[in-house]
Amino acid sequence: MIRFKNLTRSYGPGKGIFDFSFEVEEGEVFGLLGPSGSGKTTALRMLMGFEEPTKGRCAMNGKDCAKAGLSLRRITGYLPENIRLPQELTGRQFLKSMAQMRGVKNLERLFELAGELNLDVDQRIGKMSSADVKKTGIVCAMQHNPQILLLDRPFEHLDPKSRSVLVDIILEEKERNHMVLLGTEDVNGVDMTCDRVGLLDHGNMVYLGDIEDLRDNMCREYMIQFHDARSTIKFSKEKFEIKTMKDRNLVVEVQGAVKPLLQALSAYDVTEIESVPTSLKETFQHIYGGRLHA
Amino acid sequence: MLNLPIIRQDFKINRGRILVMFVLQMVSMLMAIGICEMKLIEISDIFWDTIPVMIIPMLLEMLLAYETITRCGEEGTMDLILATGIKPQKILFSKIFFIMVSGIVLVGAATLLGCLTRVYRLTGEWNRNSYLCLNAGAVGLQIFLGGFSYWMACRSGSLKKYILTGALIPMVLYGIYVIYYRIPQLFFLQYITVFSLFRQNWFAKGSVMSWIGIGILLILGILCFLLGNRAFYDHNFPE
Repeated sequence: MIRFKNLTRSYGPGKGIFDFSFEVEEGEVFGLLGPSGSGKTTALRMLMGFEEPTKGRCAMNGKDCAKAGLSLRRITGYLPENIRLPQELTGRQFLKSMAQMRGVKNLERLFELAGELNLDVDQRIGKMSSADVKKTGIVCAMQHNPQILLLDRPFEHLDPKSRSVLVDIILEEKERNHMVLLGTEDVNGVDMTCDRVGLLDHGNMVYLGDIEDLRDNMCREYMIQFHDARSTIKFSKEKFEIKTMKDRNLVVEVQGAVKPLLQALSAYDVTEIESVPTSLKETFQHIYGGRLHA
Repeated sequence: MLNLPIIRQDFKINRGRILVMFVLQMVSMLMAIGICEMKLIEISDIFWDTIPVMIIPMLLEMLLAYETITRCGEEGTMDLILATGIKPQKILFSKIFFIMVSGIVLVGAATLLGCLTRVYRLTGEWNRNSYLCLNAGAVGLQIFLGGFSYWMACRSGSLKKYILTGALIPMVLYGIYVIYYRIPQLFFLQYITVFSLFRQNWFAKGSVMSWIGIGILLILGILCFLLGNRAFYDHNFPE
């Protein structure tokens, strides 16, 4: 289990992370979602034992990360943010030497993973695209089959196909009862992989909960088609936020429960009602007041 | 104490740079031999004892300290190495070992070529023993310079900061020594540069001062390594 208890690491006002308290269970994928500078990297680095808490503590498998960093790092796979790696080596040379450092003898899984991600390991890192460098880092983080996986911006630079492969890999890790903690700005990546999510803003956790709960509590949009244009105009004067209106159709935004909308609509002749898919990104933008980076 | 895969990785990354320095050193020694034939002893001195055993190993150590510590940290490889669960002391010791051995092997190669070609006979006051002593002393100087570069590499988070400290300071100190050597009237300059602790003429005379100077350089070098370790911990595991 990963546990944060009142964890604070302050670099000044609004910089760092403040009073984090949450847990990640075995077999759970947890997403730390927030814009750049919101504290995702700091949280992951603290789990790796690279940063000391100003206050509180964080622990993995019951061991304090600041004190037992060495033993915890052996069972953890870590992908740092913005890695570039040594340009002089090929992907194969780099991955092999990192595996040797860890004492990993069986390199089958390593190159199997590289194959899954469509990574050409015989290419020099200096000539690799940023997506391939990221893939090399992901393979490196997972080469020893770690119980805990900490991935900082894993979806960044990846093409849609590789993203989908990475999503499958993360979900496989979940099935194997491993813990995965993602730090990302990628709302769709979180949507596809995470069980729970923590929204970060300037080092503060502004929301913590299941992704489904979050969706249920947030704004939703409905496209409503009325029998005639007069009804449409009449409904637009009700106490609902109208996003768009055209002919007999209008899109209405509802925050929280949908019951009041349905009650109001019972007085009208409605021919069609349909939920407009709201992306998680829009949902989070609502919480952040538009501050979330695209 | 050592982690061989780290040393192997550093070697694979830097073998091109080591080869370039080795070739430059050999060219310098061959030039010394050629100049000797032309009886231009004063110039040849630079090519057989200054460039191969002082300048080139110093440049190599500066380069390797940057590549193995600062750049490794800049590009995220250091985080990946630390994430393997290898003790940080072991990682650092492996890096120090690689930097120092590369510099010392270079001095050793120059010594060997010097002995084989009898380059020490260029000036009358030198014999093979004093030449070997001089090169052994050069190892002490390289330990100090390697230690200093390592310390600065551990303190610097970027190339710019490293150039301003790890590269510029030894260059300036060497420049001061050259000025003092060329203009002995500016005798006070010898007290502000560590290079004055390694003087060829002390070795030629078999002076005890040469070994005292090397002893001081060795102590300063070890101190720099310790300060480097401290800086690395402060940088990577801040309290």
